[in-house]
Amino acid sequence: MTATPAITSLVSALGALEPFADPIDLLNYRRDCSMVAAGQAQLAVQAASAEDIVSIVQAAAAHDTPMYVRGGGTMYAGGANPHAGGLVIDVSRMTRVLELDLARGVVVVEPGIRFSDLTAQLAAHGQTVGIVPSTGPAATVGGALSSHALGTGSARHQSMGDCVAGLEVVLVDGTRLRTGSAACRDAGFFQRYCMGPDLTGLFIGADATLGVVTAVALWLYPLPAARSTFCLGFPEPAAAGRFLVDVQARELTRQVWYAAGYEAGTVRARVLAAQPEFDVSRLPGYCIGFDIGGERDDIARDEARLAALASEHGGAAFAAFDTAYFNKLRLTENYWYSFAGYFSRSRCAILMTSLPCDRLADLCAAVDALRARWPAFVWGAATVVCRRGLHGGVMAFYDERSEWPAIEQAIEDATQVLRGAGCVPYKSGKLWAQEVKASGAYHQVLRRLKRELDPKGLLSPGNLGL
Amino acid sequence: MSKTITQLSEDFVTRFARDLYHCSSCNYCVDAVWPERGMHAVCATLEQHSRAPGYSGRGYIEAARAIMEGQALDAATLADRVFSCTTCGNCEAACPLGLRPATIGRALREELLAVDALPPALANARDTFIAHGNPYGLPRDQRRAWLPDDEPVAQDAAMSLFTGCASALPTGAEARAGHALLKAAGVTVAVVSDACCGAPLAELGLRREGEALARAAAARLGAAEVLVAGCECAAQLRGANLKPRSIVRWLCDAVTAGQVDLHWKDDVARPSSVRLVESCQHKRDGRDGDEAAVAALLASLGCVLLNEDFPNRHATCCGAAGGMPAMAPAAAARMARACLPPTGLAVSLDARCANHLQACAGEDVEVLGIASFIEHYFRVAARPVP
Ligand SMILES: Cc1cc2nc3c(=O)[nH]c(=O)nc-3n(C[C@H](O)[C@H](O)[C@H](O)COP(=O)(O)OP(=O)(O)OC[C@H]3O[C@@H](n4cnc5c(N)ncnc54)[C@H](O)[C@@H]3O)c2cc1C
Ligand code: SF4
Ligand code: SF4
Repeated sequence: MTATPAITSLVSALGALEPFADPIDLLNYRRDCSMVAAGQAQLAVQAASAEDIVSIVQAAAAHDTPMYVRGGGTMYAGGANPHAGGLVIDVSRMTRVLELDLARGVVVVEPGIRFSDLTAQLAAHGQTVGIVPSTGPAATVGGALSSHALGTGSARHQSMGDCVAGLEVVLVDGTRLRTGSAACRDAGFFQRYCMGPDLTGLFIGADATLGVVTAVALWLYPLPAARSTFCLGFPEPAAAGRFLVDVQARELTRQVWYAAGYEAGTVRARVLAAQPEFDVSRLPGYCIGFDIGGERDDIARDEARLAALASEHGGAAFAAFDTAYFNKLRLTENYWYSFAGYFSRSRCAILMTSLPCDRLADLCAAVDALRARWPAFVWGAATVVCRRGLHGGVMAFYDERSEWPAIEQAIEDATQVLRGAGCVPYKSGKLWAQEVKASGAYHQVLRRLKRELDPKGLLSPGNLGL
Repeated sequence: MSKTITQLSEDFVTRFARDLYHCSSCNYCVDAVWPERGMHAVCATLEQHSRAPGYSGRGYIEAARAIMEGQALDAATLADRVFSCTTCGNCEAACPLGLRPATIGRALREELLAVDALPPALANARDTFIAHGNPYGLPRDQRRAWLPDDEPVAQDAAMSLFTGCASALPTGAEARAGHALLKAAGVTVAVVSDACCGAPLAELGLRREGEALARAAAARLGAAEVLVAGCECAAQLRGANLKPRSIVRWLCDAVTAGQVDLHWKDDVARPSSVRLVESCQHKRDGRDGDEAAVAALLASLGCVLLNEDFPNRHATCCGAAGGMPAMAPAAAARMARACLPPTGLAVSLDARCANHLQACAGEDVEVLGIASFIEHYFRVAARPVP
């Protein structure tokens, strides 16, 4: 691709930052982990500091060049895919811990720091952060908060945004905005809600549409003395859903570091792979794994409480799934890719969806329906238990060489099916944008904010379609 | 107009299409930080040479897939990226899906040779090798210069010693020390010092030519147990159906089995501490058992090792491997210095790394190959058979 005069001029404006303009280097910036179509950037630049971001954003704006922001590039929604070409601002080299204030219980980091790096540094002080997605070795804090990450910690705190004390954001005109208590000159980050409306929240889940996050203040939490996993089996998803309603109503997830629900098919596959002789009549119709932290006595007490509550809903401890899979996933291997099917097909299309616990059975029925309608793909669903409600990940494993167009249709269909089941699908490229657009007033307000903060629409439209 | 690469061989597509389409673009192979796996910087090339992502494991996968899907890529630019790779294999160790980005990078070298796109610095290296039979451009007969003149030809020896280019040249220090250790341990070896295993050619993308040299070397070595000094030689000879063991591993095994005694020399001051420099080629080759054995042996002798958690599952390349030393010597030197302690003694288990580290180390650091280290500080003797 021949560079336009604007890009050539932008290259010289960014000269000191050594931007990448070679098509071979730009290939890595084409896409994230999603099945969303790839884009084609004309330029990419790695920023090393907030000052760099200010000069990059100002230079790109002066050249009317579209901008995309990229952290680890592990999202499954395509927000960082440069569909309009232009410039990719790569923040993955902004990895410093800017402040660690144990007394205030806050750590301030640059947006490109990887979760695994941050948690290892904090572990030396017996601390951790609230939410860690399962892609911790590659996912950045800035990317996670811009895309509503969840995972470890969701049962205690909900979502990434709930663990953020404040932000620094560079707007498209170069303004450096600090939110929360840090909005007040010299006060620093220690409180999220102070002077007025919560501007921090405006940039959480905003997918780089409104500004570039350059610093993130996260609250600290003490690491537990011990961790332990255990699993509960239920006769069917509806019973598991009722159990979770009760669990959340009684706030029994305070010490749960992670909890996730698994469909019968996954449980069966895992257990039989580990114990081929297992009596299949003893397999549950739904399983929930818990990873609990705390003092040993507290863990035992929490497990007993959860097991007692489960029995009121026909559930019981199901150790076979814990030994076969869950314990390994959480405490030994600790990464997500071991999910069945990944290796057999090729890539995985993920459609995230929020749902209330009482809709768990509907989610499972929806996935069964999708299996029947799209038999070419391997479908699966995993559900992360949050402090309130659930986040479900509906996955379709597909062969990217031959099935890329077809999977887009299938995911589009999945969006409709899930909405019909009372879920809120999101995080899936243009489908997410369509959902936001269909929301009416919510979308209109977002559009007005976008016009105000980014009048020329140079920052990525993100998955919000702004 | 500059040359482009527009297609890949059928062999490449058959071997790697699955990897190209399974890749989830997750970037673990580029710059994951994975303390649980001892990984803090995946790719030495990205860290020390260029931050351009085309120099990464994922970069090779993206490039290969783009070509496969009909995109024409500039051959010289791609060659610069894939030939700089140190082939350390860390990107493969980081890939959560078990894909083979480093192997794909190596295979891309062959594809680039097919369009005559060997980078100029490496074309010189290839010509030097062809002219002299070693990558250092030294006369062929210098390979045996380290051997004592009176060394008898051990025709019926139960073991052969294969001293590759890096231990026999340029000084021959590692070959001489390894040989001396074996002798002191009462072992007679048939020395094959005038052959190359072909690893330097294979590294330049001349895989078949490299394999031919390995087969020729294997034929010379015969059926006897083969000991080697260099790690690359071991991997290459394994491809020729041999099962070589490193000299130092043999020594560790012999000490453990009670056949050989090893004691600090009384007349040489002991080093206050030692940093063992980990070798990425050892890891890639699945031979970190050697590193563990050496660490255990030295620790049992009271040697203070500076390494934490040695051996790690991964090592960051010191810059000795791949095209880096010829193409970007300054980056290769930075890689070396990043592996060395600021002062004191560093010991490498690999002869090629030891040469490179010695050449790049500052004045305050002494670097020794493992055989030279043991020979300098320890007395080795065969234990009398009761
Ligand atoms: C196998 C697999 C498992 C996963 N598991 C989880 C999981 O458990 N929980 C979970 O929440 N997610 C999960 N994800 C999705 C993803 O890994 C996480 O959401 C992650 O936090 C994204 O971070 P990133 O740095 O990779 O973001 P990117 O992909 O780089 O970016 C995500 C979005 O944020 C924007 N952005 C990035 N940095 C900034 C910034 N500094 N300022 C403004 N905008 C920015 C980008 O433009 C993009 O729109 C998974 C993905 C995969 C492939
Ligand atoms: S083999 Fe090593 S140097 Fe080459 S791309 Fe992989 S990590 Fe980088
Ligand atoms: S090769 Fe492996 S680690 Fe690298 S981007 Fe692809 S899937 Fe991720």
